[in-house]
Amino acid sequence: MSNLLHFSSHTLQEIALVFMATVYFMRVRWFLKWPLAKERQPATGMGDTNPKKGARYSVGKIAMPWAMESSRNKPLMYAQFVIFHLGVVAAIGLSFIIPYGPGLLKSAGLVSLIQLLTGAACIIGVFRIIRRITNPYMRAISSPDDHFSLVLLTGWFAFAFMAAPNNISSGEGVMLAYFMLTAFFLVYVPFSKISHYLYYPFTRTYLGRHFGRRGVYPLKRTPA
Amino acid sequence: MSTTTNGRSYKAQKVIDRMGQKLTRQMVGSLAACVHCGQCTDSCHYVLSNPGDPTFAPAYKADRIRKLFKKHYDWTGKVFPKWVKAGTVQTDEDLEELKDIVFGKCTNCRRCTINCPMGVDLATFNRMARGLLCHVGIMPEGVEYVAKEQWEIGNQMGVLKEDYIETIEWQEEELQDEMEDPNARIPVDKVNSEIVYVINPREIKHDPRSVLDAAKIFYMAGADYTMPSEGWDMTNFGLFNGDDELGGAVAGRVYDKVEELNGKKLVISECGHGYRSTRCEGPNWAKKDIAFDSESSVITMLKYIKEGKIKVDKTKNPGSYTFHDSCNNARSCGLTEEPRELLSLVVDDFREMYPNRAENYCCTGGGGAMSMAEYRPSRLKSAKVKADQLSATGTKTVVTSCHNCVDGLTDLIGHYKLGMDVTQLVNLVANALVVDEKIEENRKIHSAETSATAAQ
Amino acid sequence: MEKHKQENFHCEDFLSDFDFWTVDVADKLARDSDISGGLTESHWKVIMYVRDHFMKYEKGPAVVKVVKDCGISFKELCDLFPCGLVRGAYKVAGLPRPQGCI
Ligand code: SF4
Ligand code: SF4
Repeated sequence: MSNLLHFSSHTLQEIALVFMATVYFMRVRWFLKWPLAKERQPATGMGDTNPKKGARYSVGKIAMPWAMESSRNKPLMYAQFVIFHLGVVAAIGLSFIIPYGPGLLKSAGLVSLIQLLTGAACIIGVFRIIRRITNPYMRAISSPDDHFSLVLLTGWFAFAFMAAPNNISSGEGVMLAYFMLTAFFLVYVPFSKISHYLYYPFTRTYLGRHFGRRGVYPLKRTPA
Repeated sequence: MSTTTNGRSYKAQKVIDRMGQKLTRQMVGSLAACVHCGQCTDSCHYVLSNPGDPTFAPAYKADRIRKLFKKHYDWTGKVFPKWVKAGTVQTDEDLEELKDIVFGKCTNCRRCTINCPMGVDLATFNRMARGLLCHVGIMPEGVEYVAKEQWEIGNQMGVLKEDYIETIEWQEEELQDEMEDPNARIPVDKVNSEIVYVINPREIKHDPRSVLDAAKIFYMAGADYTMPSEGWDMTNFGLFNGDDELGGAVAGRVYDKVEELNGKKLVISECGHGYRSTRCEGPNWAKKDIAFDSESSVITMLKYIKEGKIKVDKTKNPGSYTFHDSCNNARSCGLTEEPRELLSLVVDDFREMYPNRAENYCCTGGGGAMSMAEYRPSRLKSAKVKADQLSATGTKTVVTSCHNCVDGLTDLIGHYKLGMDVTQLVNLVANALVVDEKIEENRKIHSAETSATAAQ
Repeated sequence: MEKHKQENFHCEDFLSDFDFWTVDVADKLARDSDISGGLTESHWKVIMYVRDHFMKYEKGPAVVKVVKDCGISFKELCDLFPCGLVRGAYKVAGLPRPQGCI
């Protein structure tokens, strides 16, 4: 392994990670400085729920596609969402496995799994790019950051797919590109919409508490 | 137009500065977390009724407010404004443009809120944006007018106290005639009552039948209730114009009167935004924890039937009915099951519309839209999806627990020539009332009690 | 009739300019609000009362005033104006659409 590859898969990653953690820390601190709206309202709605239950349901909605009309009516979009995000987990996992536990990649099963996820995520990424550009509604709500983040992720999936076997016998180019991209990704993320997962637990909990107190969450539906 | 040193109009500068004071962490979360995934797009009735126009997409509308937040309060937007679509307002025209979005293109119905995977609550920061604009005097004329009436006269339709009292006396006479009981009363300002009943000024100003119907039900149930002579307006334009001070003052008037009369419970007549404002948001706006209980009259009526205090006969309400959930009742206050239960008790043929409960579509006149004449054509055009939803039920009558929805639905039914009627639960319950022995007893209690207090 | 072109009607059906009202306009508005048999004397009594009140107070009268001062019952008012006080009587009397939850 060349020094450059070693540097990019170890030191560079670590620097990038520390940087990301620092920015995230600042970001959360900034966020928590905003005053939380106080709720004095007495509970309304059906008495079989409460803020806690509402919050659990609200956070758990991510795994309950039937609980939200927007995902219920578009199961394919939901499936895309799941695979896309599993692809992220796989690609991030890979960036730790290669430098710190390369032995794991001797298992052909794990390599195939990572390749399956990142490969599928990459294809979905291409679809999403096309959708964002051609669908007038999506185009209208997209910012340069939205487009760039999506392209970045899709490209990164492609390199993760190629890097998964951790084989440098035919050259280090792919591995280098993957790690460089990962480092860039780590540094860029805190400034982009990709950091949405940082807010996710907060927004969903706040909304869930609010709707739990009001007896709205968990949603009641008639069997349609 | 006078401008500040940085070339921005004073009003625009004020909007920006005040935003920082008005933002809560919940709103900042909603502003920061949107990933522009578009999942909320077709949850909005404006989008569904105006195909091909992306400017109605909730995330697009939200971005008109979000850009200010990014530019002035979020450092990514300060450093790379173009990259994250941060932007500002410079002139009063910019503010007018924003006004047309926050008032004219969104009814704050929260349907996108419950359909956003990230938990972005557009309706809440849209209301905040309305408040910022109102603060610098930029708002639809009707909103300004109604808010002023509520500040000055104490109710949103400028009903004078003597008209209010005269109307109640008039309805009392009607009650006596119909019940054939010269002692039947609609008590006003009776202290220590179990129930203080507050209403929408529309019931006084335009159509007092619901006052009479409620009085009949209270009378038959032998209820110990009163209507207050002040603080009787439970509607609240503070919810619509985003002004927490107005909201707190209007709700506060109701609370003060209940305390003054030492009422045990506040009962709020069928009105979605009134219920939400008086029962839920009011204590937040007025910064006051209220000690007495409060409930919707729907729950009161249901209890009366369940406890056998009144008896109803479904066959008195022939025909087919569907139920429209008001956004404020269902999506913001969880009042979905009781009205259905009550409706099933007073009519035979009740058919759900789809989607329903917290997923129902807005009557399209929500968020104060009924008072914004300038957006009326666009509002009616955007009611297409609601009209289709109503006609798909194949029913003759739509029932709703909201005065504002009654008017919103009446408008769209006329516009789309659906030939349906709109009514409220109180009317159906009153119409279905039957008298039996037990109830005769209640009547006697009621009239003895009220004539005793009248004699005092 | 030439005068009451579309732009004088706002809110689809209400007259936007109080002064554009004429007997002809009232007839048209009456047809729009389900008054089939034409305007009778009883209609005119209510209409003129509503117009008078609006000229004095810039507001339509509360229903109790209409009923008491015109000496009719609420039921009679509804029979005269099937669309109710606002969408019936106010409208035919040429009042602009009132503000608030209506
Ligand atoms: S669904 Fe939520 S995150 Fe997605 S675009 Fe709409 S508001 Fe933004
Ligand atoms: S709150 Fe309702 S009207 Fe407003 S954008 Fe969301 S869905 Fe549309």
